[in-house]
Amino acid sequence: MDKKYGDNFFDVVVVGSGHAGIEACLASSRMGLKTAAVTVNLDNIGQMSCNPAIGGLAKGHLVREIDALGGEMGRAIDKTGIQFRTLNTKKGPAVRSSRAQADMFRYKTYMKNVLENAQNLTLIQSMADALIVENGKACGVILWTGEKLYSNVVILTTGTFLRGLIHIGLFNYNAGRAGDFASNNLSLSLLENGLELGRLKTGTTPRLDGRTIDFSELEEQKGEDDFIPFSISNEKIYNSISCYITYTNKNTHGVILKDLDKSPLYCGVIKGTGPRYCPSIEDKVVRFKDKERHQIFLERESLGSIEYYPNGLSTSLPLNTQLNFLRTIKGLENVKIMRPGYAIEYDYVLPVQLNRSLEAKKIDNLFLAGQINGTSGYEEAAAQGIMAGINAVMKIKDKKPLILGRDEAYIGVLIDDLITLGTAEPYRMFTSRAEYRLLLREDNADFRLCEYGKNIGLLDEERYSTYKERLFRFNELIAFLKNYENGKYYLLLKRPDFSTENLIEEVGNKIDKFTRDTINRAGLFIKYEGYISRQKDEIERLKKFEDVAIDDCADFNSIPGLSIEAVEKLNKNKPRTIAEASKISGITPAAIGILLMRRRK
Amino acid sequence: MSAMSSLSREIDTICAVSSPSGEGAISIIRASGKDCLNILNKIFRPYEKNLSKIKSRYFYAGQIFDFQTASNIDEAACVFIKGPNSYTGEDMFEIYPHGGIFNTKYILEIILKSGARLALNGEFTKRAYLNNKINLLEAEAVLEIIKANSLKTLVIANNELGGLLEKKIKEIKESYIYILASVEALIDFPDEVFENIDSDLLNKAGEAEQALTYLIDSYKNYELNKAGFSVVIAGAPNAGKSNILNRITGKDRAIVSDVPGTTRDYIEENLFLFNKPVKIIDTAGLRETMELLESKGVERSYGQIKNSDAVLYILDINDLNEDKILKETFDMFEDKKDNLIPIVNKTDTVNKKDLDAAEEKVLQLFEFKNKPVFISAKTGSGFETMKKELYDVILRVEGGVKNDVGITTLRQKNLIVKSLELLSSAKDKFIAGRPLEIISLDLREGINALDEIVGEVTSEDVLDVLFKEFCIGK
Ligand SMILES: Nc1nc2c(ncn2[C@@H]2O[C@H](COP(=O)(O)OP(=O)(O)OP(=O)(O)O)[C@@H](O)[C@H]2O)c(=O)[nH]1
Ligand SMILES: [Mg+2]
Repeated sequence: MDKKYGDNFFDVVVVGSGHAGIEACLASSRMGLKTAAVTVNLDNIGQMSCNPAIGGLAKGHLVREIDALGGEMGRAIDKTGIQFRTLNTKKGPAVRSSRAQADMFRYKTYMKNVLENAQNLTLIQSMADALIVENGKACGVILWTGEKLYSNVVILTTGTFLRGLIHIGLFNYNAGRAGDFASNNLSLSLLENGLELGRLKTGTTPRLDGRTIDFSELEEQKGEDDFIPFSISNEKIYNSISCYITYTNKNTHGVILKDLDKSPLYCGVIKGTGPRYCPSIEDKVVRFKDKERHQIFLERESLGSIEYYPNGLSTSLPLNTQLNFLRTIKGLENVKIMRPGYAIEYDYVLPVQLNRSLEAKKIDNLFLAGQINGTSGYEEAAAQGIMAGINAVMKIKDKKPLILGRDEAYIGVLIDDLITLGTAEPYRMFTSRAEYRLLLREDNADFRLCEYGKNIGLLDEERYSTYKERLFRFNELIAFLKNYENGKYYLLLKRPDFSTENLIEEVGNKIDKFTRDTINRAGLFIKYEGYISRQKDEIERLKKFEDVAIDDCADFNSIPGLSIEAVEKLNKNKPRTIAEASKISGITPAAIGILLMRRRK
Repeated sequence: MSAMSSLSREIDTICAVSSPSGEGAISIIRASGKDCLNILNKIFRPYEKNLSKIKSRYFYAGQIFDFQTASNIDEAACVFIKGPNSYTGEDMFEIYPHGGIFNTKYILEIILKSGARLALNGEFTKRAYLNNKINLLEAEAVLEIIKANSLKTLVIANNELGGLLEKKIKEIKESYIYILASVEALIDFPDEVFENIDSDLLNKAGEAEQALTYLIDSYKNYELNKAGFSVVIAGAPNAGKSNILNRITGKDRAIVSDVPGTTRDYIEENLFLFNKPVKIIDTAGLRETMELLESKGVERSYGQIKNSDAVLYILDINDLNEDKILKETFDMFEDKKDNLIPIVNKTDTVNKKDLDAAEEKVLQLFEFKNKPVFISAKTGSGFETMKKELYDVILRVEGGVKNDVGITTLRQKNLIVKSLELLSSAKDKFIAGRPLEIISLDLREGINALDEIVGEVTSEDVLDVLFKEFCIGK
């Protein structure tokens, strides 16, 4: 049978239509390849299984980067968000981040629509049970109904579905998330093909009936109307709701501590490692005994629903206990739970088994993206999804993969961390992971990445020309400031006490043709120029070593002078270049010196 | 990050004193890297040629020029060796100044200020290897040294420190990481409430600053210690101090006369007491006097006593009366009373019976911590006992130093000074409300400086502390 012309053949098969799957299948179909998206439930494309929000610290950066490459997440949240805020406005311009609460139903509908309207994209509701691998090459998947889908490339974005196991108190059941089937056979197929799997755990909060919450006494947090939309293609966003803030108290903690023996976390039922940055409320109460209260944000999930998400209350305690501790909290005295909070354990593929393009080292033409790689968060998933989609296409077209550097994008940091360091807990992006964070700002994501998006043929003309226009304006303003009154204001802007507000006060009429956005960008650029060039020098120096390869079959044990610890780490991570080796934690400058020497044999 | 800084080292110009430490006829200062010629231009004035015509591998005599004071400070010879035909394969120079400790160090400092950096142990050889100038076998010898380049070198230098310095620096690093983790928590978790985070952060910064300052000061002490153990010979005029100095050094160094007040200014001599280098200082006799010159001398004597490590307090066996001067000396020596050895001189002038009586009297009159030693500068009797007593004191003092943590090289000191400057700058910026990401930059660089001494911190380490110390998670 000539597979190429059959209905069951695609260039790319993407398994999963979560946040990673969406970007992956859109990237490959928009770049012109015949793509299939296989999802277990077509009604849950782009489902927000946890917090109904997009963005946040370092995640906002990711969303803007995805947008600059030609992804969908930013456009979707701009259109379907119901509250938008900029975080860290007081703490420092390079670490400002955008966050929006989504109307989760509208978000899903939006995404499903986009997929349905995408050229070259076929949507299939089914479950993938196994990979088809021939001669070390992935060439399709077997569906649970027994049919086969053939393809040149397979991208797996199955999230928390691999052997997903949900815990509510000591009760547990198999599921990919509440309401969806787990994918139990695919794990086995991955193992059979030689991939090493680990097990992680994450959790979510109960969902509350908004009609039973008393908001009258709670602190209100409003959105910001001058928020800069996530996507280059959008000019405005609309805030339609507020969030509310309340706190746990001693009684809440008492209820939780009393019932700890019914927690699957504390009686050893859960084996997977959970995220430290998103601990369950029972964890927080146990580990930080001195803290008298914990902050809770009450966030509405959708304008079309009264369900509320109590941010900060992730838990896997029994339903009863959940209700009891909730009712000790101000505003929630009479609350009703609509869905219980739960913990979920799932398999993930140790990401050190991937190349920088997200292709598996052992199985050609198999790409992995999203939570299956041990990350957490919609943004981290989408970032990998778009890269996997792009690189699947590059692979098929026999072109060099698109690899973003740590100095170019948070996406670069994310993938580099995953494949060089791996992760033992669900990996979340933090700005502190980016050594070049002054450079990697939200405000310049388009300047950093739009050319890439354009070159690979993913970024649409509309977004690209907007970026071009902005870049032109930006350069124009910089040139003006450099020349006007001998560059007086350029120098002034470098001073910490001179802001863009001061600039507008003093020369406002000369620069009124520039948008506030352009003025802010220029101000930031000038203020940080000195620091950034310091960082750029460092990047240049390091680049020298980026291409310095380490012998493929180097036996680190046999290299004299390396500490046992260093040998172990090098053997485990198998760095291919000196630069990669230098990023492994625990590899000291002395060890790098030794590797460098060794190389010049 | 520190890996990065270590890589960047390959490009810059390094410099070190490569003659053995201590005084000699000439010293050798060696430099390697692309800025060699620039640096020479700044600091060397050859007699004959214009520096721009300087040829590779030729000797030039000239003056070392200190651009800070715009003056010539030493006469020296110099060779420039153009890369790649040099030991390291890079441009190099060697300067041969006079062999004093001070001038050599000073010239090194000028070179450092002209854009070079102090070389790490084995770094010249490492570069030679990297530039294919030496083979693997040769380089492997260097590997061992590179391994030791951080703390171990230091442990060797100060071999009985037993990791105390490492512990101390690790403690400082812990404070540092805590501060950094606080800043990162504030950045990455804007919606969390952290109680007292500002004051805790500033407290930790204060502690770390203190600890760093302490280490920097310890370097001064170490430098002083390196100069040798100092022993002052003090006592009333005519007690025989100068005579004792002469005998103990075996030189006719000080004038001895029966006129009280002969020695007007202190006299220093160096000698080895068994295996220990000791600086021994004869001083003007201590008494109240109206005579201007002598009173100046007495003042200086007290100064010497104050700065010394041990005192030989000389009493004339024929003049054992309650001694006001001795009291003052005691007070001055308060913290080091254990290191004062009473010496009763001129035993040759009394008979056995009077000697016994004198021994009793000394013990009655004075409350010395150490047993008095009876000697005669004339015959030399008792000198061996005196030397042994002194040697014991030296051992005891050094034993005490062992518990003192200190840094021992200029390289370490420079790194710690840099670290302190960055920490203080971060703290000031924090107080002034400057952007946190800039503050984080200072802190990270400050930690990197410490990393070069004891090994590196990864961003995962910072996150570890962050999650341990701060309750996070919505
Ligand atoms: N018999 C005897 N005479 C000594 C002894 N030591 C010193 N003298 C004599 O005591 C006198 C003073 O000796 P110096 O060594 O000059 O005494 P000093 O303590 O240095 O005196 P000033 O410098 O004046 O403070 C000289 O005449 C010495 O010869 C000793 O052990 N036995
Ligand atoms: Mg004298």
